[in-house]
Amino acid sequence: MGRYILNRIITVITTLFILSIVIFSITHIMSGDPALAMLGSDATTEQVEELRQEMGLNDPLSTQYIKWVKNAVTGDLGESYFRHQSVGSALMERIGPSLELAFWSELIALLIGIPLGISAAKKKGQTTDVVSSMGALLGMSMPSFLLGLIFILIFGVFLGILPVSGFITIAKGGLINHIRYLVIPCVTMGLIQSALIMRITRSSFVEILSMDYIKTAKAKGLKEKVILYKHVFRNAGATIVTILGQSFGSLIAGVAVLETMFNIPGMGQLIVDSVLKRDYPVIQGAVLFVSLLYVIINLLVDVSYGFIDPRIRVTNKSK
Amino acid sequence: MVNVSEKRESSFEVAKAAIWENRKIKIKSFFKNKMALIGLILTLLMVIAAILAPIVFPEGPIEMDTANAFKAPSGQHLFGTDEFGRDILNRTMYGIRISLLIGAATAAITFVLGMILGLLAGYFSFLDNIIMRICEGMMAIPSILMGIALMSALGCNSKNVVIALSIVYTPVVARVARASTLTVKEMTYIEAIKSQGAGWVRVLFGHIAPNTLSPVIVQATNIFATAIILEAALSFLGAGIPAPLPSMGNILSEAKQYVFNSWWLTLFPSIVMIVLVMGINILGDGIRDVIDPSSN
Repeated sequence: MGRYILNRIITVITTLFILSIVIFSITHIMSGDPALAMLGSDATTEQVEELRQEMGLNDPLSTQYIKWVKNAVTGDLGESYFRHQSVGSALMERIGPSLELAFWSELIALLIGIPLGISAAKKKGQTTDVVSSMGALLGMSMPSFLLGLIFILIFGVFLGILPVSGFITIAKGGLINHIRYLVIPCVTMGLIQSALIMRITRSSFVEILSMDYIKTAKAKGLKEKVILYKHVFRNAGATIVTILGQSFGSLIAGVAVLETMFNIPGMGQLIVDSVLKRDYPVIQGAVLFVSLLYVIINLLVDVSYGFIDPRIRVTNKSK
Repeated sequence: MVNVSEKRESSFEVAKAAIWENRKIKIKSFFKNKMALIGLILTLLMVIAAILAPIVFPEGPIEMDTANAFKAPSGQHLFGTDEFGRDILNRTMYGIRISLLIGAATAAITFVLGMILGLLAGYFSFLDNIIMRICEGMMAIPSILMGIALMSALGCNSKNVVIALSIVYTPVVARVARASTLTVKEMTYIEAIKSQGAGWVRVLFGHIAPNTLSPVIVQATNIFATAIILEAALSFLGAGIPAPLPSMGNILSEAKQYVFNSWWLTLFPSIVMIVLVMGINILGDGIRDVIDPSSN
């Protein structure tokens, strides 16, 4: 087990190294000069040159990369070009709303996706299965912003019962207002997420239900509930952990778009804003931070696999 | 000698016939699969709409007619008009065209690049670590963030959208192709070909590649649909296809500004977008069921 974990950690470190190079290269091939952007178009060439020197933009790329990584490891992600604050504090300021949005969305998604997936697998080929699979297909076929637009149209415009944009903290507007502003984004994201979760749950439960030991249990005359709770769920542990890990990527993607769309001051909005302004350090820092989170979650998933299902420790080596 | 070569000829014929028979069965089972057929019909409808766009609306999707701005749907403008008096049906049909082209181009490019990278990684263990680590590093960045960052690096136009989406999705295809290669290269017939003295190019591209195709094709159809969604999301955020051109994301992004007054701007393009992606997804599921039954 120790060796398995060590293996995973080594893989993660190499992944992070590549990741840092990818992020660094992308932000540095971005066209446009941040020094020029900061000073505005009527700055003189000397002024721009001076600022470039000051910001270290004239150093060779390798020097800039090493400096960036060194600082990043110690938690210093640099200063934002436009926000008059450090990237770290900008991220900390923005992470709250994002986490809240992500948490409620994922909760809604799990509460809808897993039960639907299980009942579809149990009644494979029947109406329940067909209807919920169609629903999931619909969810998979829809960009999150589109469902958001439809909800804005229904609840904000036609019914007029919910606010369609913005974010109010509990301190500022009270709990009820806080929730009212979160309903449409969270339900939108939750429904889109539940489609993916339902599909994964369904296919893995279909697989488990077709196993010989389930047939044996049925042949013994065990009740369906006993089979489901005692035999199926024990073997579905790995699946449920996988679902959590796999859905995280699409969760982040959805949150980034929905924050921009619903004007929620979270990390997604920060990233999109920074890209439009070419605020290199913020883009680098935020993308690195989010990807790091993603890598760590996947590491945890992999490690917990090893605990849940001993077979994986041995067979997963080729991965 | 004559006898041997005749025998070889005839067993070759038998094998050929068997392959054809197998293909026929697959095509038949595709048409028996009702869902796959629905997917095919929906996708064909969209393709027809895309082809008809320049015929029905030869004036193009950009021309303005401000006198007719914000007209609700009517006989003259079935889907209504936007703030510049542009016909929404017109823009939606051109939008389908752009989305389909971008999805198809991305799927084709990622298919080719992913196949090559995956085959090389799967076949040569010294390349495996390099290629796969790079792919993993790239896949660790959520696709939308990678897309936005690449688009702002490359600049907004249709060609760059395809480049950015291809960079985002090639690692996904490469991973599938590699996994498939790892299994195929252990098969006995590969050993047989190698022992006949075939070089690695022939072994890899002539004999391994054809047998790794199924899962990769399934993955590519999947990417066709997700690329359309990601393009729409990028354009919606303003980091995709530049404004006057009607991609589905642009149309909806514009619609959002007027959602309180002009519901038709949102409703009709939304429905079309859903049908478009759903059709391709259903078709993809159908193709998967036929060519790669074990994955279901």
